[in-house]
Amino acid sequence: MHRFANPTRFMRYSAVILPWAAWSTAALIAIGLYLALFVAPPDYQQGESVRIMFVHVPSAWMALFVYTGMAVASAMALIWKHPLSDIAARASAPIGACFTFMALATGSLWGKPMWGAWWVWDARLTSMLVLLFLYLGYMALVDAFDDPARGAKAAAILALVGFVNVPIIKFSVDWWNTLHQPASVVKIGGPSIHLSMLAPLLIMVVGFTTFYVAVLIMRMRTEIVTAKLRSLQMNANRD
Amino acid sequence: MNEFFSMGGYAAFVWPALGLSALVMAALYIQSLWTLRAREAELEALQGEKTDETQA
Amino acid sequence: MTAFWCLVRRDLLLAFRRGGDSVNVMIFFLLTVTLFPFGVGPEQAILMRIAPGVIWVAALLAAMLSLDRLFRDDFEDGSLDLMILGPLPLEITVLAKCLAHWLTTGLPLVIVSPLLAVLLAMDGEGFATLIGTMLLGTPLLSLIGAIGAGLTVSLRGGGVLISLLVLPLYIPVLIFGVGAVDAAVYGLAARPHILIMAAMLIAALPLCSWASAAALRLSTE
Repeated sequence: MHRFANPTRFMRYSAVILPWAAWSTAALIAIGLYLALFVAPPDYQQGESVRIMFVHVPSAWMALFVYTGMAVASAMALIWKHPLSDIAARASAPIGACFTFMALATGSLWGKPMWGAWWVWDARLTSMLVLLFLYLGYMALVDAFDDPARGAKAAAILALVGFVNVPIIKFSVDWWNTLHQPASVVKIGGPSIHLSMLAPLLIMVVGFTTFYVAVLIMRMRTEIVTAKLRSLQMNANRD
Repeated sequence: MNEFFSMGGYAAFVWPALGLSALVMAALYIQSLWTLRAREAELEALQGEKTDETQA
Repeated sequence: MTAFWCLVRRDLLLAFRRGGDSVNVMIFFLLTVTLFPFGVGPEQAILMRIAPGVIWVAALLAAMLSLDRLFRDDFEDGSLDLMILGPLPLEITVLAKCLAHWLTTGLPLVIVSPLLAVLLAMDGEGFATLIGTMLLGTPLLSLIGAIGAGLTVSLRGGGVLISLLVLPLYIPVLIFGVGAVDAAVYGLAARPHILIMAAMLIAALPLCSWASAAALRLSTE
């Protein structure tokens, strides 16, 4: 772990990994989309609208995966004071927020033809919406601090508090929803997804993950460069 | 071809969904890349100045 | 233990001298609830249906507006630094301040809530449950709010930011609070909801005070 704590080393390694991540993303998404649009069969119940699933489900998974990553990075920043962790957490937030937004938007576009409504207060949708607010609140908090080091620590605390809250929100919204009987039940592909649908789905998920890695690296590098800039500018002002 | 574009009648939903996703991801990627390049350029410039100063 | 009560007494005294706070919170609560009949119409049936939700949301907002006060005055005059260095563990200090905060803002909300229930034509069955859940819920609002207040105390204009941070965390409290009252009104069992709220409150005592203390230490570095 400590081998990777050095920002300079990170800059060196990430410079190598970045093009790989970027190209893998392009290739995986291209293949995934091709399979999703041309090879996967239309769904028995949902027809061609099921194609939306191939971006909706990966977005939703990434939204949760990125938040988990943020929480882990925040914990590492607070407990072990690992210097790169809080940079990783802050860099992840906008990416996670984008995925959450995509999940909500594509879900809405899928929901309209399937359920007849752009939005329903289904447990999953509601939890996703609250997740978006958690991301936005985090980003607002980071932004509000002039001193980036303090902003990082504050955001880390918030990320962890939010992370504890995610299962609570999920549970309470589930409870709330079952109490008021959902309007309809959503079934995605049924109990066992056929390989012709599963394969493109998984490929898209991996593609989204490499996308996350690529963008994360870019944003982390930006933060490190900005920190160097700031210290240089401060030294320049001092002279 | 037409059948493909009409997506069994769901075209109004499927294509905006895919398009929106592509747009968001592309925008995020491009913004991240541009910001990185801009900061790197600034750093180069500032470091160039410094070496000029120390040489002068 | 005496240090704890000293702190509570001090905060209560300060709030008392400041005067306006508790009354303002109650008036805001009353006003917000009053807005709803203007918004949705005076029809009894509708008001009755939305009464528990409206009262709870208004209580949430009223509690939230008072959060900034929790630490800011002490931060600005330096007492917060003294509290951090003082004999009491910071987490206990946070609990003391939350208690005082609840006594001055949460408890008044609880007291006013039956009046509002009458205004919104809520069914009599729900009154006791409303008061009970608000007694459990308003301390939770103070505790969870303390985290947001701790994180933003060193920021200028932290007020709106607190809302952004704290409202998503308030949602479970809202869900179970309203759920309990709705259940009571419809003759179903409110106990599960109340038990869960009690559990959340017990869990919040150590967790929120710990998180808030960490935030305060950070803000005063």
